[in-house]
Amino acid sequence: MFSDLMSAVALVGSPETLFTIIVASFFGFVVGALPGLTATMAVALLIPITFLLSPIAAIASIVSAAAMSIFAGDIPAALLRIPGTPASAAYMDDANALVQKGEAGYVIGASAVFGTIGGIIGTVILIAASPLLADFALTFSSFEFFWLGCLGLSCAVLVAGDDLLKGMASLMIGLLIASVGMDYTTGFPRFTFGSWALLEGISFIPALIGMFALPEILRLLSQRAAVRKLPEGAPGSALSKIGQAGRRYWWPSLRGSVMGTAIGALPGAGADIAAWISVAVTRRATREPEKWGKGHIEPIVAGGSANNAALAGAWIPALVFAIPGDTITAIAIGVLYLKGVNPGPMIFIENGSMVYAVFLVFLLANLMLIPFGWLGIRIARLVLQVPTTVIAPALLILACLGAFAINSDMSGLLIMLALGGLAAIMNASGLPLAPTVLGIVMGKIVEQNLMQSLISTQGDLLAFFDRPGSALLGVMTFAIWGFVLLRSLFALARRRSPR
Amino acid sequence: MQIHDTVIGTLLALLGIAVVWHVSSFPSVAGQIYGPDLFPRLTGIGLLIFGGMLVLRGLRTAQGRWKGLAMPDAGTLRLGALAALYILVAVLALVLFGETLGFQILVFIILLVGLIASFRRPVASLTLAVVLTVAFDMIFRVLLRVPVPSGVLTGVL
Amino acid sequence: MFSITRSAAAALIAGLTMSAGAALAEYPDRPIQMIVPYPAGGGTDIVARTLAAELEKELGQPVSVVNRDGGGGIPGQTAIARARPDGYTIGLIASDISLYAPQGLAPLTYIDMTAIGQTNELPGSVTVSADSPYTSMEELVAAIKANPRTIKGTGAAPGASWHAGFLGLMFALGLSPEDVIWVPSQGGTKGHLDVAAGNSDFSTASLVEARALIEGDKLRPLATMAAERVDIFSEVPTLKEQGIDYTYGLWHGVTGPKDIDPEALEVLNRAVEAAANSESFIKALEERGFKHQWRPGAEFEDFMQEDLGRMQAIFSRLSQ
Repeated sequence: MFSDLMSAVALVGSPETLFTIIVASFFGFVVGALPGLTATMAVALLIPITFLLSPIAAIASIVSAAAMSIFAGDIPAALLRIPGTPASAAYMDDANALVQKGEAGYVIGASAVFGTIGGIIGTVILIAASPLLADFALTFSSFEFFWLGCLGLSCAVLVAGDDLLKGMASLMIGLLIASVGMDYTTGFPRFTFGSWALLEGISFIPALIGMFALPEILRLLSQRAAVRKLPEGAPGSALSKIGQAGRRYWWPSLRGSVMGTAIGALPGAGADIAAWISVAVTRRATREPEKWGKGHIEPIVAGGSANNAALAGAWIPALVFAIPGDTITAIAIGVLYLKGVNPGPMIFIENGSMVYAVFLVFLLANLMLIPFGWLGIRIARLVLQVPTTVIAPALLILACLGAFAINSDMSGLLIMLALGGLAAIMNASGLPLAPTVLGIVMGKIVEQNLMQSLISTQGDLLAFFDRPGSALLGVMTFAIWGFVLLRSLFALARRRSPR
Repeated sequence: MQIHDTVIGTLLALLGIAVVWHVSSFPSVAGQIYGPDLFPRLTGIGLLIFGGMLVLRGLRTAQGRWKGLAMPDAGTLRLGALAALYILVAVLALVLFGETLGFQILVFIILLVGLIASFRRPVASLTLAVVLTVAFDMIFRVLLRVPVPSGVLTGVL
Repeated sequence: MFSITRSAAAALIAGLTMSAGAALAEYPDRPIQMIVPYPAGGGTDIVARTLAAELEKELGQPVSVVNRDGGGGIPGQTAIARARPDGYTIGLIASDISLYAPQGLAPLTYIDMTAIGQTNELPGSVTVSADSPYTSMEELVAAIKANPRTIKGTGAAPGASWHAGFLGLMFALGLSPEDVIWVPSQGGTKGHLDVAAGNSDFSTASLVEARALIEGDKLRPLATMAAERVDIFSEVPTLKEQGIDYTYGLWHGVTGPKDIDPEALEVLNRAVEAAANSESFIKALEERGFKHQWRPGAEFEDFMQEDLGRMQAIFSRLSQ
């Protein structure tokens, strides 16, 4: 094992690998910071280049680009209210509110630092418990995934705030949007109205851009003041504030990292879901609920740690069983095969040095977040000085190009426009957007696993509690809903009694 | 602009009814109890319930004094409507003429119009529009290989 | 300001006239788009990206892979068929194209495209959980016959790839597909996973997608649906060896829109043939467990016609 480790250090320490890590990080940074371009796309664009690289450099490029683009997605979310990735949307409100308070450096710095922490904790778990966790991930069947999806959806409503009724209504809108497209069990086209562009359903990215970017562009354009006057942030350097946040919120960060790794390890549940669940759990457990939504660092700590940890977690089933935890590892598995490194339980024995090298690359790639976080802060300072009158038209073009890029199709633009209109109506009626977004992201997972389970039990609902894992998750879902309902009934009763 | 709970609640409930009605036309599969209509039907029922509850709550809290649609003052409204029109026309122009004219030309026009309207400095706007058009094209089409349609400029660039 | 615009206009005109001359140059003089109707990172995508890297060398122009996924591949394959036939848009299609017309999903068949060449095959398999009571096809078939409508199979969404393979297998066995509960899954890997997690009893997806799970003692392969044993799984018997006369596999190939520019087609034919038979492409395929299978344009078209006929037979028998 020690010799494996030494040869791994030699592999990773080669100039080619180190140079690849830096270049791929920069590439991931650019792609992630552009709305509409996802971490998956960054990695897919790298594939032709990986052909030219040594196996370890090829993996290093994928790992670095993915880690960096997930972090970089937070930058447009914080500065412009346009999430670069669905994961960033989970804590965008607080990130943007902090920027409005003049704390851009603090937010972006914190996002980088806690992303690094999450990534490193995820990597440590990956090193320590890969085979064990992979076995755990394999026990998940459609029943467990269904309940996990329900838990995720419950988070949507928990995150949304105090108005349960509006949160639920918003969630239903999201679920309805998710059911557009070919039905999973029969292939029947639902709500497509004869258009083949809708057969594949409403894709997240144009939807996300439409719901967040268009209302923001509209707001900027209809503002009379040309220059954004941001107040000075609270005294003290960004670094010292991040240090303080780290001391104060070490537990949400650690919890987010561990949960993120576990959720990331489940095939089909990636960084997005990890970030949402971690933020929701933290919101329930927080000691300062009054600060949430008004520019509070805690959700950024919890979500930022979780989504980078999930990236590492996704590699657990990928390395051990060649089962991709998310789309990024799906590509990585392909590249591993191409490089003659066959993932599987034998990889630890046959290719021990390779596995250690992957682990080392993970650590390095996550450490790269810190210098790039600093770069992000410098860029943020520039972006915030540009007058909004210039930003708004440029953002519109950026939004359109992003919506087009995801499928290289004009239908993305129309989806963006339609959901932008929907978001405008929802904003005007005080319906929260977050549950709709989560409904769109998770609706398909919930429905597909529900249908798959119903078909395999031939409609027997009790079978949803037959398997121990699924029973546990099911009971947890019901417990959360019982708690929420009791609390709102209690609140209703209290409001009525004094009168 | 503000839409009252009763109005949005009614809209959501109507949408729920429409969904439930529409999914009943979906085919069912022989030998299966649940078909493609199950999930959308559940969401439709959800919309109906929560929309209906919003209406009830809106009526109760307002106690008869409510406006369905609260509009801002005329100046803000005019500016907002213009901005919305700009966004709408820009996106539709890209969809309708993107393939034939090409994104680059349209992007330039959209940027120029938007910048002149809000930035109000013609020389600076023109320069900025050119620079931004080139920058976007370089990043998306050249660097990231997004197949942005170039329309009449195909083969020229 | 006026002088700036005038010189800008002059530069623009100069640029236009200069590149107009270049536009007449020989095909290909600009990047080529290769549409993949499936998501990035999937089996089809890997084949496409490996092939694209080789094609770039042959054509001397960048070949960018564009994923237009979802909708069972229909939107992506339609986009290939409807692309401008100037040779600058080609696609890497999968056997799903033979499944749309027989099921009435979309009026799209191989006829709407120009065949350039088949690259590979991916045979199906029958795979059970490692702790399953079945150790051979015979035992599994006997169990299905003894307890109809209790055994669960999986591997794809209904009407898609491995489900079609399953339907054909049931007909070849003289059984009704209704005797088995088909559990829909999102693709072959997820199907294998459902078997490994102990829900479904068997999966018909490829051995390639099960490779690491077999090595990890989570799954047990009963048979491959290939005509002959597959090199990297030489211990797995074929269906024929177990007395079942049936083969099924998915395939991939390069096509372009109908009536593609003949000059471009000639260049493409040559380039794709060279790329698909290049050492590094074959090596990459075999590393993943795909079977390299080159069929040039006309032969590929005949093959697709035959494949469509077979699928038509399966689905018309199903609807009886």
